[in-house]
Amino acid sequence: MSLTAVGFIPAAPLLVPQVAGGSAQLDDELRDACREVARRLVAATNDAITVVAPVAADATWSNDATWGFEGFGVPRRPADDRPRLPWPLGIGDWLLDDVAWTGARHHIGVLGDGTASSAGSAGSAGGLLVVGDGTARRTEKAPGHLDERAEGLDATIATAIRSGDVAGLGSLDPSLAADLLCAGAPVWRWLMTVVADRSVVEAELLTDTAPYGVGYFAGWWRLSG
Amino acid sequence: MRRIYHAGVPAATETLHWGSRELPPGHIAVMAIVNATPDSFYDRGRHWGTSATLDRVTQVLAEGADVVDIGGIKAAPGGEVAAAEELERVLPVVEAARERHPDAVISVDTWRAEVADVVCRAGADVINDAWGGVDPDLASTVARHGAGYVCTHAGRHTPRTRPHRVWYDDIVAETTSYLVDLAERAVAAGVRRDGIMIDPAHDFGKNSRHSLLLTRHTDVLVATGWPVLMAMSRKDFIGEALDLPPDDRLEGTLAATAVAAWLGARMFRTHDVPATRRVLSTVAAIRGDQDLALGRRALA
Repeated sequence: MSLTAVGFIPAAPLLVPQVAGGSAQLDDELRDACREVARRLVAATNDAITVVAPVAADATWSNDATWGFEGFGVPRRPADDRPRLPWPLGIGDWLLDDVAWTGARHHIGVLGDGTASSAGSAGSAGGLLVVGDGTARRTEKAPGHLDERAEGLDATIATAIRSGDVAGLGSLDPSLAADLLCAGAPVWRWLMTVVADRSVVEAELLTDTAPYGVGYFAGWWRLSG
Repeated sequence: MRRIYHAGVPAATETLHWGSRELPPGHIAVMAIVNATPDSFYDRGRHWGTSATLDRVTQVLAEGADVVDIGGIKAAPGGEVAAAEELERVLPVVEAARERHPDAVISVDTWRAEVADVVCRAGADVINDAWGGVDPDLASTVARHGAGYVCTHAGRHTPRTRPHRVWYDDIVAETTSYLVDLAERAVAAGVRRDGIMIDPAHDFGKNSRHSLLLTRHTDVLVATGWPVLMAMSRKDFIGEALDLPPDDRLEGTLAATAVAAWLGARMFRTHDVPATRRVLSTVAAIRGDQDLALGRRALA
């Protein structure tokens, strides 16, 4: 089995309507772009999809874990007794449920240094759903307040996704990315190591937006066979 | 007076001693926000400048505030305010307020021990450590002056940073255990046990649901035995419950105030002293902690 496609979505909890609450419709456009990414991934994949997302160093989960956002104060409805994935993986897992993916799924957590966490199931897969976003310092109201360098780094990320530039996306300056609270940088660094010998034959950036001062990207790559 | 209804309503038992005041159980106190800042989120510099800030102190005391809480740095991120500048803003207000209002309880909102030391020497009675114990020398400084101390939970965040995607396996348990630990460490550092309050610090290191959960479970905080301060005035969790800006959050704040007071919180930090006082008096009357201010209806 080999990788056939990569989908990019943000790690924003508000993507999940249950988390966003009454304001969920404000982000329908972003959510729909992510659904489109997931649908393309499903269409390009016969066997399995692997969700890849940033996790904390001490994150653990079991193979039967599912999404749940109780730690943000949101009870899952309808209730589900299975153990929970770390929330960034949960965002990807929620999206796969949302597009009714019933095939196999795996989960890979990526640590801050760009290496895969040993926890959970790390299977090779037909499609990768990569969860991560750009800087969180685009405006004064942004989570990390304004940093003038943020817009430039997000532009670099957008260009790399749009043009299928594996090395460009995977080689962001780690200290700059950390300064700018760029949650995607370690995940994209990991991605570079697993698709380095492949070529991107189709690339599209579906969304490039920052409505809350955080750089959100929805994108899509098809890999050479 | 005979208490008619008790079930499910925890009763605070200890009298709080702050400055020259005793704040006994049953008296739900009001802490008035006095901003010595040009840029705080609600008043946006309305009382900026020592003279205007002092007028505000006089006003809130006349309105029935039990405590004035003077702060020199807004909570949100922005230009750095060093300790020297913080003192330039706060110290003249503390000194003058002490002189004009010898019996008032004066609190200063600061996370810095060096600021606390100076303002306590100038007559501050309480230090409100709103960023949750980031300066390891603060409690011992408070102890040295015999001052009161507010312990808060800010999610271990750096002062003046915004929470971003913060996750708590159990926000109520985490906050409660952190506050009890902070309070006990303050006692160990020499702070008077009868001068300590705990404050879950709504919105500090929390999303709106976390703040609502802490309000819903006020009784868990009260059950620790430490008197509970609630600082909810016009904050974002009220705004997000209603989708309203700070100017339109009074009713939401008062609703949260009534709920938390019913569940046993002992003090409320507010921008709106008269409205808060009325709400708390009503709750105290419902709880049976306070008699009617006027008893004539159907009694003549």
